[in-house]
Amino acid sequence: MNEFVEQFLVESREYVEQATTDLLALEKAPDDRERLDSAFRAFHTLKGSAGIVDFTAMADAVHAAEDVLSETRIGARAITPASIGDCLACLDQVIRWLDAMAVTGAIPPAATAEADVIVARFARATSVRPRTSPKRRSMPDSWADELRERVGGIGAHARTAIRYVPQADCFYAGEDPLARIAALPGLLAIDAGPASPWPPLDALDPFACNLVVMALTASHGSEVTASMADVMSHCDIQDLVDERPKGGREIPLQAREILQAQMELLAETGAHDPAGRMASAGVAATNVLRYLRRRADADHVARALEATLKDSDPRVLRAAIGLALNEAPPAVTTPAAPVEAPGSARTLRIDAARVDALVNLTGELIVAKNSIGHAVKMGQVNDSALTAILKDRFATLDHLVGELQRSVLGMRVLPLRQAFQRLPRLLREMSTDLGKPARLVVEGAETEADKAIVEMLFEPLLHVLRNAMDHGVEDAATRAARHKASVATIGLRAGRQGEHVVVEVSDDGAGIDVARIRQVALERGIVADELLAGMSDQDVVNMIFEPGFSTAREVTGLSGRGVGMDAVRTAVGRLGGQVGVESRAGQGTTVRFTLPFSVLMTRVMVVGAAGQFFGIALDAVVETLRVEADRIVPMGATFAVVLRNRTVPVLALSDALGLEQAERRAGEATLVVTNINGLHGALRVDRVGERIDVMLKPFDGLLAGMRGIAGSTLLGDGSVLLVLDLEELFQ
Amino acid sequence: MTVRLARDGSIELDGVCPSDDAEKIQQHLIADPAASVDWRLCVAAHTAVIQVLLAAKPPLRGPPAGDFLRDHVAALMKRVGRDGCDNGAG
Repeated sequence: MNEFVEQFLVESREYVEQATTDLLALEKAPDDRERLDSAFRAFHTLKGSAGIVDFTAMADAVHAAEDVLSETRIGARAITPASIGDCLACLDQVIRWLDAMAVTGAIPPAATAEADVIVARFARATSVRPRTSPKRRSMPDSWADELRERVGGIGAHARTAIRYVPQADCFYAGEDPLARIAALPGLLAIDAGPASPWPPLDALDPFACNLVVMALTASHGSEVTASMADVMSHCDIQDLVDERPKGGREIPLQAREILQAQMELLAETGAHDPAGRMASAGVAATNVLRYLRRRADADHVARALEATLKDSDPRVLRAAIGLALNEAPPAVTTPAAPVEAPGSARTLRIDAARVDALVNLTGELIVAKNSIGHAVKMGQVNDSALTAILKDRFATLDHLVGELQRSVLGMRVLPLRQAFQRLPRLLREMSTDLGKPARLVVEGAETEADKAIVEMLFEPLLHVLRNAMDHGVEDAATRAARHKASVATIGLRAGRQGEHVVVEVSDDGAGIDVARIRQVALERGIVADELLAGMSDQDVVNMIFEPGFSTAREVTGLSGRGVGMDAVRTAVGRLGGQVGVESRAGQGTTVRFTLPFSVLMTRVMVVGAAGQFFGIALDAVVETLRVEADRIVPMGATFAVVLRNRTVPVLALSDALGLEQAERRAGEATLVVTNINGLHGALRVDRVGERIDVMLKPFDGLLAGMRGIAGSTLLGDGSVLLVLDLEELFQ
Repeated sequence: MTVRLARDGSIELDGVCPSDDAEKIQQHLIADPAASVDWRLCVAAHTAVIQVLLAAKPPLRGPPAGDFLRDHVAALMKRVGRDGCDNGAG
């Protein structure tokens, strides 16, 4: 994909998010001027970006929304839920386009028709829609106004106007003025006419340029100035939208560079055609300053140019340009950025693949480090002085590699805000659709987690949110009867707990109907009668995560559209997380996601079975113990052991993996008791080994489908350790 | 050849027309002031070429193949061109 398009996709998503956040905030506080300005800026920038990649349909759609906000800004109309809905619909469409473009790299073919729908939607809402948006114009010269009128509607999108009068002999110098204009970023329209009236065709010199070329672009003046830098002395560039802070004295970097280049040009001695050089430098500098609307400086330079030409002394002009430059302290240009939290400005956008490569390399480094540790252990037998040194160096290396790993994994970290961002507006939609007023309270959106976690989390959260709105929150009449607030509160809370990130979705609805779940479980034969009778309410509630329940949608009505709670658990479990639910009748339900902070780093316990070694995620291990072998008793097709009055199923690891088991030692059995999603199970192994930190590499290709194995890692001695997927083993 | 004289007397532009083509087009148009220019195969054209078209305002048969020509120059030609000629962008 073209670099511009990639950049466009990344930036547009940011602006869509910014605009969405602003619009939702505006809906709550319609008088929030800052939010309105921020939303307007986001739409405005979206439009400009669309222009840069020639996505006119998107520019049109976004422009319609921008018009509404613009009118609101000048007080010509009030912000209403309907207009916010229209703007959000427009952003939705933009996201769909961006998604399509991310796949194909091209502008979606149906975009024009889709944009028309959006534009029509706004047109319906506004009975009289002014064709030209009332943007502030800081006195652009009349040619720019005329140009806008001449090119028609598209002129309303213009941000910069360019008037370029190429030199008559420019074709010989290799200049192609229209090609230069064609390459301008965000070009909207062009115009061209004769500089002096056309002679009869047979008198026309086809190689003398007799044109005035004009253009309108959606891009910033600074970008245009950069493209026209070497012909600035033949250009007039007008900024049609004044977005710079009033009274700002700073000169943007690019303009500064041009001015400095003129000074260098004037400093050259013994040059050919000094007068032409001075004139060119003077005109270029004047134009740059005019473009910057530093009229006093521009006039000063223009007067200096006259004096310079009269006396053939470039020093006057140099001094004037220098004065203009010195008065203005150097400023780094800051492009219009979304409103960001303080401290987040110093960021770099890095391709995720590069970070992953670094993560992999760090993994390799850890393996190399572990192998040194292994060598130290072997050397200890001889107890030489060398071993002591090695041991010391190993400790240093261990520390450094640990640091490196933490930093590298930190690079993959994103705030959960990215997963939360779309939820408020989706809740707004659900709330409207279902006729149940609700508000979303978000806490801890800045909590960070691994990129994979953040990206995975959106779907499960959305599903839980839908459940909460569909089935948790009661209708208005019921809520009134129960003396509950008419507007339901959905809580979305995130926080870090040790090595885990915990995300909770709570509602103040009716809670889960335990009796009904028992009934459904019985009807569908999910659990046996006698077992169900012995189950606590909490265990019953947990059954909503069983696969059987997701298909029982019409009976329990517990699932929304598409995925069931079992799918939620599977998605979360795939990344080493767990999900649980708490429900209190009449008071509400809380679904809690407990997720690992880092996906790639796992602490495992090494266990041995049938002469081989395997890793088990330490998170899942409750305890290891030895029991008399005869306490393990057959129970149906499986085995079980009673531990602290609790029956725990026992799985012999060698059997589960289909390994040849040598004669088991009589007498004692080594068990690793695990907890997977609240269910205990014991794994019978031959021996329990060390605990190590590993970078788990998930299998791909043929091995990906291997049952019971989550991934592999290398041990210090170079052997491969397979890490078990306990959930699959115990299924 | 990026400039050809078609059998019906129209001037055909094909591919990327360099500045030299300006003179050829000018000569053809001087020879036959009523000739139309068919730029449907024209991908891009030097400013000198466009300048001749702007000055002579021949009837154009379009739309041209190149994006910039189609989206911008054709609209410009339509504005300055004679009424009723087939030079629209669509």
